[in-house]
Amino acid sequence: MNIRFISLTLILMLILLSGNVNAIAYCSLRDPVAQIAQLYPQKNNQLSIVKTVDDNTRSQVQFALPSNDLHFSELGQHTLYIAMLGKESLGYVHVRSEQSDWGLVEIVWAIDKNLRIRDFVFQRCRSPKKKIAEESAFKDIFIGKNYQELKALLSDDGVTAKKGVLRIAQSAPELANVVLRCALKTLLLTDILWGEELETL
Amino acid sequence: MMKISNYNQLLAITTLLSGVVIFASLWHQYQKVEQISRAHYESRLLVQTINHTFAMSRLWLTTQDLLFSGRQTYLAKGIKDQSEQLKKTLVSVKMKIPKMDGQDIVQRLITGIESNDNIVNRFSHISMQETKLWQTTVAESDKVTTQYVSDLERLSEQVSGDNSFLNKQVKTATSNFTTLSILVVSLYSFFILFVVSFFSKYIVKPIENITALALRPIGDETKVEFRQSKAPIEVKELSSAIQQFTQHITIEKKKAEQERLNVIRANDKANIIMDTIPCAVLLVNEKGLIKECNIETEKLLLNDKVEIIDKQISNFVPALATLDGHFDNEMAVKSMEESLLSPRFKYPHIEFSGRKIVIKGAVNYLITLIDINERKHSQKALSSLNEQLINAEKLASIGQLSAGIAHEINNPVGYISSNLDVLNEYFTPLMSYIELTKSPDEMSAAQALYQQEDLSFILGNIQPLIISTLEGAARVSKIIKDLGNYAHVDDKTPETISIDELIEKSLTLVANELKYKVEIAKHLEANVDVVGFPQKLLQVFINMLVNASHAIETKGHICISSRIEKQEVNIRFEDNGSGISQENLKSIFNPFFTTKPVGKGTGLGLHIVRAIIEEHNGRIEVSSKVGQGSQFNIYLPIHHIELAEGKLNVNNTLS
Repeated sequence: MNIRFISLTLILMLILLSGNVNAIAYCSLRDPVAQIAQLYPQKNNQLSIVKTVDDNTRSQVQFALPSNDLHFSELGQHTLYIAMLGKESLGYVHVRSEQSDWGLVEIVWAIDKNLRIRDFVFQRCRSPKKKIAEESAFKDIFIGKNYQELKALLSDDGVTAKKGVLRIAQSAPELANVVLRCALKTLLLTDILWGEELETL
Repeated sequence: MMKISNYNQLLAITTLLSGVVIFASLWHQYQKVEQISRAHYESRLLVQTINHTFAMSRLWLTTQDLLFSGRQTYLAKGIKDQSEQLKKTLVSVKMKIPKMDGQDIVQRLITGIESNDNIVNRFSHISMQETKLWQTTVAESDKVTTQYVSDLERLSEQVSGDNSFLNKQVKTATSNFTTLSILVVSLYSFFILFVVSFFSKYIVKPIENITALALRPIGDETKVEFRQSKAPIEVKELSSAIQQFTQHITIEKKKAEQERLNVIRANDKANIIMDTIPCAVLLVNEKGLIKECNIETEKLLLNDKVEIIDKQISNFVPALATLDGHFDNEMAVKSMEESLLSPRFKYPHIEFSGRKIVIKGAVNYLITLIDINERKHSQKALSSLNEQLINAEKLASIGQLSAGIAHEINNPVGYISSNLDVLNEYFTPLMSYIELTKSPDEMSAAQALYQQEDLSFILGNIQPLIISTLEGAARVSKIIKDLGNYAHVDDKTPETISIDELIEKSLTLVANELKYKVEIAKHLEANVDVVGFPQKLLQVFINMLVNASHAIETKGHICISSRIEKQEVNIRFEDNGSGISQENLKSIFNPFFTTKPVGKGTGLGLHIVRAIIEEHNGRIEVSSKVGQGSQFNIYLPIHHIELAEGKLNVNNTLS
């Protein structure tokens, strides 16, 4: 490997690990307006609750998902969207970025009021297998499952999905791993950060 | 069928050709495997490079995402550098990738990077407030990078597919190579087995057959067929030669068997002869150890064969030992008519003779021992009988001579008696005269008596009468002495005898037998002594004279002469009597042969004469003509030759 490339990679790593320098939320590059509409077509209103992901939150995530630490870039303010039909809450929308082989993948998660995955769409994904992940067979791996049920899909390494899951997503296993990690973090952070507010709704 | 050498040449050529084919095919397949392996290796390197490109792309894309999310435009420079590195890597991939469509993908990747670089450059000119533009530009970049990721994955799949294909090919080629190797080795093994089998069948098997036949135990009359029909020429020739050889051996074996039987028969004969031969036969080695003996040996030596074998012969026959006790091999080849066994034997008299024989290169001695104890006993008895016979014959001759001898004695006794009568007549007047002369008074009476009796004549006649009487007594004494000597039995030990004197004595004893019809002529010139028995020789001479006398009917001559001839003394008795016929001449020395009337002769005279002469180591010869007379020549050895010759010389000088 070229020495120049290695030194460049090291500089980049230092930047990525430089802490709370950047206070801008690392949820997504843009607001998921179109995706919320896609996920909750019947909604006529929406609420957003902004919470801060701090070191404490990060510690809780590290404890709950030891191999899925939050990056420094993920610290900061994050927004949870609540799809409303009138005054009734239809569900929640949480956008999270997850690192993959193709850079950051931005997934817009639709969560029901019981904190189960209702649906999801990709806001940004460079993988050509994104189309496979948008198929119902792939999505059914995750939809309807809460945090515990999803965690049960994780293999012992805590990073990749179990072989059974990968067999279902045999055409896009890497994407399945990324989606599973992202879903777990999303449900965990939603519960940790917005759990109290959501109970009062 | 070919020769073994042809088989060998064929085998060598076939092996060489098959080896060339095998190794050529193996080499070809190996080259193929090597080529595919090299391509697979390069493909693997390419896969690694693609994986490396993936890792670089991940960082490149992540850096871009950092730029997009944090709007940190200073990252654009780093992204540019990463792009350059990626492009370089992709250029190298493009050079290595074999397929055209792969090269097109790589080219699209490079183009995508360059397009993305242009988009990223634009972020430096977008202000923070131009969110829409920013997002539009990000979307534009996402489009380019999505295509990039898609192409990269397709390239990766293609390269991985190629690698998998090559991997399969390598496996297939390796498998083929292995299969081919196994096949070739199997074929070669089969070929070798086939050749070995062929050789075994056509070369080794016939030889094994011949060997098995040769090793098979053969019955007496079994004919073994060694000839092989299916075999190389050499083996055929060999089997034929063995067949001929075995036939030859069979013939020779039969001959040998016949000879063996002959030997056994001969051996049996020899054993029978050995065991029935009436003497002990021993085989002794050069050290004097007895190695073989017959039954007679056991009888003679009073021991079993086991006790005799390996014993020193000198233990039994001391004469066969040297003074220091070793075996006397010089004595062993001599013959001894009389010898002795060791003192422990009761009957020790033996006769032995030996011969030197070589058996299997070793010197041995064949010694025969003959038990002569009985013979010795018989000899003693015969000797005693002979002596008695000689004495009897001597007494018989004395009887024949006694009348003549009596006559010879009577003559002197007669005139001795007559003389004594005269002397007795002379005694009375002489005694009267002597008495008268004792007194002086009667001197005259004495004188008268002297005159009256003519005493002077008497006195003069007395001395001649006494001399005559003494002469007669001496003559009688001599006759009686000679007769006594003749009748006396000889001592056992011989003594020195004067031949001429002995002849004179014989003449004395037969004088009366001869004097009336025979004129004796003596030529005694031997003058020599011999060693012998005088009475026996005297008996010989008397016999010869009496026989000569008997051969003369009325008047005749007998000439007795003695002389020395060479180393012998010759005594010749020659007469001119009736002679002996040629028929009788052959038998005259046989016992009890006589031509005399019954009661006149014993028939033992000449037989005894010859026995006595031979006892003295002499000989007797006779020549005779009927009507002309006979001549007997007796030859006796002179034991003192020098002395005899010396005396002979003196006699010659004197004569």
